[in-house]
Amino acid sequence: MLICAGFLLFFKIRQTDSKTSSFGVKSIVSAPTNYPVKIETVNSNIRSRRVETLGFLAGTGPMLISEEFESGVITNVYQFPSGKLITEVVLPNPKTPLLGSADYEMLAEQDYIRSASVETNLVEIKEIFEEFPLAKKSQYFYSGIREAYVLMGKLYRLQDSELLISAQQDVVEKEIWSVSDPAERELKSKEVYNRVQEEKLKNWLETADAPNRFKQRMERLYGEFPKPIFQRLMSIEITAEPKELVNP
Amino acid sequence: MNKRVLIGMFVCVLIFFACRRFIFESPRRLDGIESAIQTESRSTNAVALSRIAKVDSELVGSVESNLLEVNGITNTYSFSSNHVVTRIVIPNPEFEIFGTPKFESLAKAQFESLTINSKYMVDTNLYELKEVFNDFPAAMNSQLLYSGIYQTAITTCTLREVRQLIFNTRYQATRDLEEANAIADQAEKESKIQRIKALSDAQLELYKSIQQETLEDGRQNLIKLYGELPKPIFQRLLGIELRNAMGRLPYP
Repeated sequence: MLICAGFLLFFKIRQTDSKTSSFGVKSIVSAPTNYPVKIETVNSNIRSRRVETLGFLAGTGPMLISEEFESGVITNVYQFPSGKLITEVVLPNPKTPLLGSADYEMLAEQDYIRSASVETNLVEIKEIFEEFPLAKKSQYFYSGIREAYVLMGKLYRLQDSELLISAQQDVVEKEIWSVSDPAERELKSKEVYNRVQEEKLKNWLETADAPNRFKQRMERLYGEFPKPIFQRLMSIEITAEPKELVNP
Repeated sequence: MNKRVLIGMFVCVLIFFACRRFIFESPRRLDGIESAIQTESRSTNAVALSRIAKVDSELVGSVESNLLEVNGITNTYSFSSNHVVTRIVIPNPEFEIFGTPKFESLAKAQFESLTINSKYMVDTNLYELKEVFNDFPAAMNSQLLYSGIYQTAITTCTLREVRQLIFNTRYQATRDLEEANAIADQAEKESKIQRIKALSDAQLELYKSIQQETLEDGRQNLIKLYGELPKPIFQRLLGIELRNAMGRLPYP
């Protein structure tokens, strides 16, 4: 069994995610006072739950348990081989409508019209959705496009984060060698190694989870989501960061 | 490196800088740019704005080395900064038999060594690739199924490498700009910043050109195999990312 070395609970302002996710995100700290967050009250109302294990058996390796509630609140629990746990609570921006609403669809369509001139691959995404009859007939056509846009943008940034971790190897070395005492340096080295390893694993878990979350949301939107359509969407590269959908 | 066409090296880079005086003020700076571009070229990539020629050439060489007679492709790029880069791509020798039963049997053996005969954890995405081809009758009827799988793997792995180079360029530019900002002399700082931006922009454009070429070359090779390639099938194939390259085929 894993030993819990620490339990770190943080309510994170995910500024990046607030742009990339269809859910706007605010931290509890910055949440408006007229929008109280009562996580306990939504715990019994889980809309979706996913577990990612990176090919390890559950409980033996890094793991992410992601739960999404009807209110839009998401909790991500990351479990690392060291026994460390990180719980991340992502709060929806109250101004962002929920997926599957007419408001969301309207904002998604406006966003598509605005963004397609900058991120031309959005046209490719639209073309793929046009060949998906359920989406085409659905009143949530642009919501699906928006979700794919968010997913591919997120995957691109996660790739960047992973590459950044590798590229900063020299910075890490410098940090270790800045300690003159050999014994302390050894400790520092272990600490830095664990930190970098943890960052990598968290990144991989997020990368594994993002497409599954997308598929779940598509199934909720259209009833089903064919694998060929998903595969085609995964080939579209989105480098621009989607802007948050917010009601005026 | 596993790019099919990239065993080859960029033997020759850089024909001339027509506007060097206007853009780069000293020969020393020019040398810096040239060596940087050459470095990138050695790592199978380069930089470009618009490709001005693509030639199936019989001749490979560089300004400074002897000419070699091998099969290859010469791509010449012209830059907005008015310099020209010539990139010569020499295909791996096994591609001389691409599309033949011999290549197919080598590709099949390679596929099986990574799946049913593998001693290590199998990348299940290889099966995903095969599954996509199952939905493509022209491939299934062609007797060249594994050649297509191999070609697809080459394309996606190359795209991943280019993606990494794009990141590296941006990262290096960020670090160089941080360094440049620390320069006290204002004029020198400005000039260095300009130079860094010009180089990284040129490199990024070249990498993007290479991305497009890789996609197009991959598509054309699959069309060579099967006579056609529906866009949805090609997109599905590209949507499957292999964890590792398939490796070179054991061809002498």
